Amino acid sequence: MGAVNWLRSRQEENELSFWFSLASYDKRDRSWVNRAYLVYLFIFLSAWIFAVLTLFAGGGASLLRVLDSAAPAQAALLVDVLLLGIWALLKLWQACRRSPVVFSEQDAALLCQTPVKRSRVVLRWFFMPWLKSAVPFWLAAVTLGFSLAEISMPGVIGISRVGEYAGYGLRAWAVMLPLQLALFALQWIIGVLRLHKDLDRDWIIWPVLSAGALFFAILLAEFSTGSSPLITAIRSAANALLYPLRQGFADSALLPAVAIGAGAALCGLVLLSLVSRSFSLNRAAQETNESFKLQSAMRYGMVDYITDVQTRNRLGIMHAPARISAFWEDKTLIWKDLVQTKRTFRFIDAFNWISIFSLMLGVTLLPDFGSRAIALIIWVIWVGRVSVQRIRADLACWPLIRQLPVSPRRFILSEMAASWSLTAALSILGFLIGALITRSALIWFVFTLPVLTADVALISAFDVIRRSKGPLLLNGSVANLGAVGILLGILLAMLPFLIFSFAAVGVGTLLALAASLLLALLAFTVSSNAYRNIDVL
Amino acid sequence: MSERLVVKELSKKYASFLALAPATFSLNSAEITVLSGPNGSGKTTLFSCLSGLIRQSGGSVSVSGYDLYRDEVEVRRRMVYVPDVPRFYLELTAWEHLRFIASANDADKNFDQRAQELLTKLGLWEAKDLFPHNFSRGMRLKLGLALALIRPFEVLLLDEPTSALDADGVTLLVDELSMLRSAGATVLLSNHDASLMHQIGDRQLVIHQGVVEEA
Repeated sequence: MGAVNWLRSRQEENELSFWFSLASYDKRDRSWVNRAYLVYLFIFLSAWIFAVLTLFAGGGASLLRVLDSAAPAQAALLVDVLLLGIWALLKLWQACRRSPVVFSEQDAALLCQTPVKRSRVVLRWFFMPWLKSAVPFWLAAVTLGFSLAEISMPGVIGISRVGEYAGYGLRAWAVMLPLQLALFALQWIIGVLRLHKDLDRDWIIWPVLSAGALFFAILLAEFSTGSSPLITAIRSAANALLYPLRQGFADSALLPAVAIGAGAALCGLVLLSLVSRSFSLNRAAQETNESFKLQSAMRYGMVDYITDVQTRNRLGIMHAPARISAFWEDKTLIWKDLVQTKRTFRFIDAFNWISIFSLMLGVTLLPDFGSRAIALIIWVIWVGRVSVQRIRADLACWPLIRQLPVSPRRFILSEMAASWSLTAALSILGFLIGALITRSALIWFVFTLPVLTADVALISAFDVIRRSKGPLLLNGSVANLGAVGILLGILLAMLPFLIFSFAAVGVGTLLALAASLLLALLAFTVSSNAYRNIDVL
Repeated sequence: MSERLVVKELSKKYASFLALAPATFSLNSAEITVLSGPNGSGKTTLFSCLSGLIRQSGGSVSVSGYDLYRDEVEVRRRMVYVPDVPRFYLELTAWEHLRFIASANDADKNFDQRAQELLTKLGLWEAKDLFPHNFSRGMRLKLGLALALIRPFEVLLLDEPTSALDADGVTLLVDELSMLRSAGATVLLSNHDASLMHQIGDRQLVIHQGVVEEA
């Protein structure tokens, strides 16, 4: 157990160090200045969190009044039940499909191969995930408590009443703490039971589905106005079940509620210890290896890696070959882009396209130059990000793409063609609709839009290529669109827009178009030169 | 035999670290040259510079008289490099990779027949509709080879081609390279041990701490 405890402590320390590092605190620095900084950090964060929660409590109070103006405590209970219930059901469902105990690749290779006591590993692995899952519920409970305080203590709350105000939050938190712990333990019990030795316990889903049905029955009974014996019985059961939570928002004694919650949590932990004696660490490691990698990657912002893994999972094992007709023979790169885009399209990607359309619609609907310029700037950032997706994916396959007998100019054109057509079409559509609605003279700017989109796309590609280096590309590591690329994109988009906005319509249209064309030519030249000299710049 | 690949004073520096000392050599047509050297000696750096995947710090590379950077497209038509760990598109299957590379190199003629023969020979026919990220390292290396062989070339660069191949795979590779030599191709391949040199090598280059020498 000593070794397991030591290993887990190191993992937890590392995780804590990561969170501390976000606040610029280095755990290894033992100087008194650093310790004083930790104290300062603690005081500052406590005060800041308190202030933010009181701010949210104002909105929370309004919500509780809307839900049940006569009994806001009942409304707070409902919000608490909904939050806890939906979270618990989702996590229980997950526990039926994947182990809640998550092991790293190193754990799988070393720890899971040793004959350590399974129950001790499970209990030692329990703390950190529980803590991470508990914090949002603590904050929600305290906010709900503060919201009730806002309702019960009208007027300005002076320093003398801060304790009373905080008491509302603490009551709600004191009840939430053990109950959430008990529910978390229940999820682990289900997950651990499922991975019992080499048994496939598919029946485990049924208690979870029953719990779901019970939860929704309670909700229906609570909202129902009927008084049939069944509904009355469910209401009575719900009242008994929700007693501890209710006490968190009531004026009556708190101790029995906390004691019940603590008892439930303790029972949960004891039960977890008992059922985990035959827990299969290896099966859990097999199931969670990837999710551990994804969690770590997410923590360090490794978006490309996460996207890669998700894409692999979505693509599966195999696919029937895509047809390639004679039409594509000299446009192979575009054909490849279309096949790739089709296979990796997710509905969430449509959000990018909707945003581009909406932002250009906004440019025409907004009343003054300043707000239009802001919409245009956001549009530039969006178009830039979308335009470089494909070229980044291609640069990640550097040995393949660099060896194609394609000139840098043709490469850049082929890479940008598909995304440019769609971005330009959506931008034009949004712009035209807005300009027609407002009958604005801006409509003449529509002729510049396709070129303007190309300006932004090309300069964004230039930035990605400029920042990418050969040795890193060989490992599939491609630079992302940086601040310089975004700033250049804004410059290239704003210049024609400024010309159009401050010149007479006819002349402005022609000058803006001419400027856009020149800038597009410039952006095309610098991006193809950057590709040709990718390691030199 | 004529000079196909000419390397003059080719060098690569990473900051102040000299990964590849100025190297001058040339490779002839219908010749297989084996580059040997220990781990970290600079073999992959040399291949990356020769293939233009990373920019050299000095010197030049030309293929059949065409400069690697000044006449890049012409060089790309004539030279192909298979890295020791090939990378593939996530979204394309093995067959589609072949299709893409063949089309991009104007090698569409009899594609279906040639691709089928190639994949069958390399033992990948059954896996043609699989995404390469599901492949083992050996299969990935074979697909990398297939992508090189599906298109015409004059110079073939192979980095550690036997590192992930089984005995049958090595025999197949040796046969294939012998056929390529007969067809007039120039081949440069790197290897840890001397066995491949004895089997098919016409010439041997040795690299040690970034210095390339004729054996």
